[in-house]
Amino acid sequence: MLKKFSWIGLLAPIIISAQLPSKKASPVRAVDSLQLPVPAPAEAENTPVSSSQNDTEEASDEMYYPSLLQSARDPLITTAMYDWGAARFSWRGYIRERAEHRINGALIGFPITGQVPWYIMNGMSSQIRMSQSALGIAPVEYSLGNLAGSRMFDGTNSLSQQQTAISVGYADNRQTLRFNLAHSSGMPVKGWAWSTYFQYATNRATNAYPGMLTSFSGLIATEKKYRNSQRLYAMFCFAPQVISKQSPITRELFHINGNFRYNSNWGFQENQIRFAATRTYQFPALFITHEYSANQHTVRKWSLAAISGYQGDQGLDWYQVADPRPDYYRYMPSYSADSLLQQRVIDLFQQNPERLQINWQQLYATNLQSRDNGIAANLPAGLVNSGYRSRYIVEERRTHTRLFSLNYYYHTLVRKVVDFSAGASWQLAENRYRKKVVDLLGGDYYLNINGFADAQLQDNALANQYNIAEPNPTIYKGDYFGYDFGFRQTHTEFWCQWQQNSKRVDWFVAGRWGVDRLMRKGYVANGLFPLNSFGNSLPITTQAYLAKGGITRKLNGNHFLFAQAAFQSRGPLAAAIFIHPRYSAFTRNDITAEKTFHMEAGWVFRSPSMSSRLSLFSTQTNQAQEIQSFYNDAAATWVNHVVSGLGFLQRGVEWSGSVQWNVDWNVDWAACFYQLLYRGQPTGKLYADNTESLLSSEPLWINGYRLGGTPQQALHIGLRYQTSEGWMASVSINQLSNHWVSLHYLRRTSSVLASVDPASPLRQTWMEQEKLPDVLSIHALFGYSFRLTKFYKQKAPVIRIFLSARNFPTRYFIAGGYEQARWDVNADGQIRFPNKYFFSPGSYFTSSFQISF
Amino acid sequence: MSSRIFYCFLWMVCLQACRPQWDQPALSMPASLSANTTLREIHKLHFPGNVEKIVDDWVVVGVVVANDRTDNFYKTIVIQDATAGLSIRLDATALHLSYPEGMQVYLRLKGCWLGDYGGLLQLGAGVDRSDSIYPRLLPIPVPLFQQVLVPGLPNQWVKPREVNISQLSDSFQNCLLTIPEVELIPSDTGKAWADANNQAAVNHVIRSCNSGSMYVRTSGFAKFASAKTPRGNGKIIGIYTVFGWEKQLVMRDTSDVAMDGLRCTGSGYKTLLWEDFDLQKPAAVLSIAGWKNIAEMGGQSFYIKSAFNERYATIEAFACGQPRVASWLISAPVNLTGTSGARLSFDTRDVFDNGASLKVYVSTNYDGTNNPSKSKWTLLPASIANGTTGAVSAGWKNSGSISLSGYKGNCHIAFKYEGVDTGRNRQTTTFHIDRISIVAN
Repeated sequence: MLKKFSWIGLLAPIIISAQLPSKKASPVRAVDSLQLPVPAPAEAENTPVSSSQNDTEEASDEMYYPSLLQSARDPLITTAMYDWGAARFSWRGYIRERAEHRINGALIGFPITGQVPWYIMNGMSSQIRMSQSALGIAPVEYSLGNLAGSRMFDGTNSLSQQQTAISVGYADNRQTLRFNLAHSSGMPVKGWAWSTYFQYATNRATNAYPGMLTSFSGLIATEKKYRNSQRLYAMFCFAPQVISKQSPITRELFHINGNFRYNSNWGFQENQIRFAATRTYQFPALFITHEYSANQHTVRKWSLAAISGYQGDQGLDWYQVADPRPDYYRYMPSYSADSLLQQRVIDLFQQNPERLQINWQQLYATNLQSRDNGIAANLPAGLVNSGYRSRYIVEERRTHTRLFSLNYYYHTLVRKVVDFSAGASWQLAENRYRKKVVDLLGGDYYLNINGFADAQLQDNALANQYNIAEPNPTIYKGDYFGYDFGFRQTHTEFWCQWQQNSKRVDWFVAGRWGVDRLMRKGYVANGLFPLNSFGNSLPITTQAYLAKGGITRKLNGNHFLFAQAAFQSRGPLAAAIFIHPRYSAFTRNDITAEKTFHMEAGWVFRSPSMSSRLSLFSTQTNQAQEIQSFYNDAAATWVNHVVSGLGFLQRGVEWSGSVQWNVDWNVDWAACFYQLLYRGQPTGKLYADNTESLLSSEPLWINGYRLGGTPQQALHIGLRYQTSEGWMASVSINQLSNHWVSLHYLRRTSSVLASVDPASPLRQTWMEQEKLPDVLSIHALFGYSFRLTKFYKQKAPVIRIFLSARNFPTRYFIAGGYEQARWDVNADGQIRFPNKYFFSPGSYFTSSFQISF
Repeated sequence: MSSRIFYCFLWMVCLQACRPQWDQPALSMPASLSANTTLREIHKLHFPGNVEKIVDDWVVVGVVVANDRTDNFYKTIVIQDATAGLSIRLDATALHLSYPEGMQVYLRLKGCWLGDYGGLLQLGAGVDRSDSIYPRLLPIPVPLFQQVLVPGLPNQWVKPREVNISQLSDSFQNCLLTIPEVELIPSDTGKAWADANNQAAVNHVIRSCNSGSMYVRTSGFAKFASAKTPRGNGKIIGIYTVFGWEKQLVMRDTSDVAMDGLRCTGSGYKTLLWEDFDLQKPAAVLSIAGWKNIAEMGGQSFYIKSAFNERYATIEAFACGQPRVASWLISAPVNLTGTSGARLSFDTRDVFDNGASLKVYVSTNYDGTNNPSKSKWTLLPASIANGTTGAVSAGWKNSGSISLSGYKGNCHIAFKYEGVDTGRNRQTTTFHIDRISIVAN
């Protein structure tokens, strides 16, 4: 029978080449955006850092927003996933490290960064599905979880059903075409079950949408059952992808360009769109799990995960030449003190929009005028006096990552009253950071020297050397250069949980203790800190623990009252311990565990046709620590802002529920009213990056400011119609509001405020935190599935067709924003470095077509 | 799974995965604009102290004569045509990579502004009127570069025009000039061109012997800021600028300076070393206080000979029977610090030349011992007499004026003789040396 459909393989490339609209097999997840942690200010003309954001199609690519993932149980989770994700809604404002994620039982969060590597399963959300989840600190059997909940993903769901499915999908917000193919052998009585999955997604950058995506996803899973009591299953997945990065923009740039899709990270080269900033993921991952069910109540599970690969961030690097970024602040009309000149520049940009993109031709031309100045140490004879020394290159900042995760858990039910779980996990994570030359842009070589350290050359002749063992080396395409350091961290944890159920009251207590051992590994000795950059640093050991408990009072079979509390202590991440790990093992001298106290209470209603949940919560965090790096104009150097004593208050009310009106109609709703604030008065110490000298230490006046990064109020009402004949339709209305830009702490210090005239209206603007516009969006989905029984008597293929309209009626909206780390005032009294915003496309359509048999 | 579907899928992936590599783009062709006015005419549009906007579609063409290659010019390039020069303020660095010296550049002037700084005409893109009394010309921002400056042909070098200080006038502003026969005033010689430590500009005074003086201004950021100013007289090339009543010259780099000649007010060269051996005992081994006469190999020393009322140093390997002869005559130390234009000269004569060699060296680290080979000696390009195979040479041959300008501190001059007096190919040439002198400013 499969041979009858082999012609599809021939037809598919035609479809892809023509990029005809097609249908997606499953509802398209909300488009989401990413934010890099460092906004990348620059020295006057010399800095290479690019500020960029990653924009992807799949929710599984939410590398920054762990947000709530798929679960049919609570409408709030589903809504946050599908309907609010585009606006960057983060459940209760919790950061990514607050949620625990496992795949096939293996803990997969990277201990070094706290990130969850969604990219390892990009495009495979139909194969690696969330099988279990917990909202908040509610107990689950497989894990202790965390404050933001716990999610278990299972990559072997597809093994149980014998099926082959081919689907093609298209989304016009990014003109992305996807093709995927899945096959499962089903579970045999004896032997191994297999499933394979491939997906290819791509788009072509056009003037209308200058974004680029090429991704390939592959998965192979296998399972074998032994005597009905044991399962051994393994999964290998690999999802390489290259995605263009989207740059955040200022209001000024948006008004000049008029295009919410404006992206400064590309330019025309030979009439083709070429991106300077892209992100690459190459992370093959292997999961092996053994599960033993001693009886119907007891399970033991061993899980092993091995992930190894790299993330590459491509961007421009330059040395002592003009900044190549078209949106550099000095190139903006507002930089000029002459209104006529401002208008002239505006006119230029509006009449010649390509001037707001990278001028690749100029980069090449500059390199071809640049000769060696005699400092290159190992220049080949053929290039002496004749070779071109590149001033601009395309580099790739690589983070090589290895994660090894070994997990064990035990679960048993005792007389159906006591539910006991215990487990342990051990993780070994290693990251290595360095840069690679991708393109010399016409030059013959590049010099591996640190342009940011030139100011120290007067006192230290080796200051600008990344590697003092090889001063002034020439480097070529494919060579690694620049900083070369890494982290190695082991994480060990033990946990157990006791749940007890009775007629009227259920209760649970649980606890986890963990220890982390972290060290920095330097692979080169640099000229700035030769004694503190090479080799392993002293290991830093921190402990973490979580204690939680809760009680549920069952009023009757429908109404439940619950109350839960948790206390957590955890050490800071590597990024909050090492002040500037690129250069040295310098650490903060006040490493402190962050303390969090959480309380929650609520009411749950359950009936066959209706469910509802109302909860109030309060989470207070103290003694959190952060380190931010940016260029400081006052000090005229790069600095590291070491912040201690941060406090957050996250509290609010949530209400969600669904009503099954009749067999076909369902209504669901979700409402969140949060108050997410900074609390207390942290202290910020400013250190110069090149000398580690303390520049200032002062309190940060941020008490009462809002946490940025997520709307703090979200409303949803949805209506769904689904028949047994295969028709389905849904529509939802969503409103997200109370979204604030992310703060830059240093603005709220006495020394900075002293530089602003107290009588100036600028002072008020300076202190205020900007609120982003509200977002109203309407989503609609139509689908139909049917069997081709007319043509096939046995096992007729199933056809599924979906059409969706998303984010109507808005054309675009602002999904997030932040205050820039630099501050200065233009001649006309305006802030020179205004806030930057991430724009998200508004209304768009998707379609998908799937055939399975 | 059907293998056909699988292979088709792989084929699709390969097809779509093939992405073109980025080849070097074709570089822009030189502009085909044509000028419709000259820089001299543009000069006439400006009134000192004012700022003027150019509203007409004027296009001029010039050649870049200065840029920020050595950081002595900051965010500025200077162009020049046959009639005048113009300083163009550009809000960027590393301009020398986009507008190298010798590049022809077309300027589309419409919308640009003329102004002056201290009387020096400049071109910019706008005016900052925050100070109403002193409006400030704003540089051309990067986005407007392509609109205003259009590159033309490269390597269109401008020959500096030779002008005396007394001839300088505003018509030479922003022009590449050669100021001949000038020297730094004594207090400005041997000094750093600028204050690199504090990154402060310095003005040095240059003067001609009889036609006035002017400043040479150097930025503290210049790459050659720490180089020392010359002591002699000569020419200097640079861009003529003004600041108020001050006439200034701004160099592009130290190769623009050639000033090691005789100074205007000096009494001529000082003689640092003179030896004509007339006070030496003839027919005796040469022995002069402070000098070294070393028979390194072969046992042959320099000795004094006398003929026709003159005495001179002589060396030969004849009749010594040695397989190798190496002899050194090393002068007393001569301190060249604080001098300029130091020169060595001497006379030589050869007799019975059969291939032995006499070479002249200089060393700044000779330790005065009898082991001269331990020190570093640099061969000097001296003309040495040779070719006289008989007993009588044509006469004394002068070595030529050998420059010692690059040497500082205590220097020794060495005459090294090498010969052979065994075997079939003997090299036993006799050399005479006389009138050794070192002079300097």
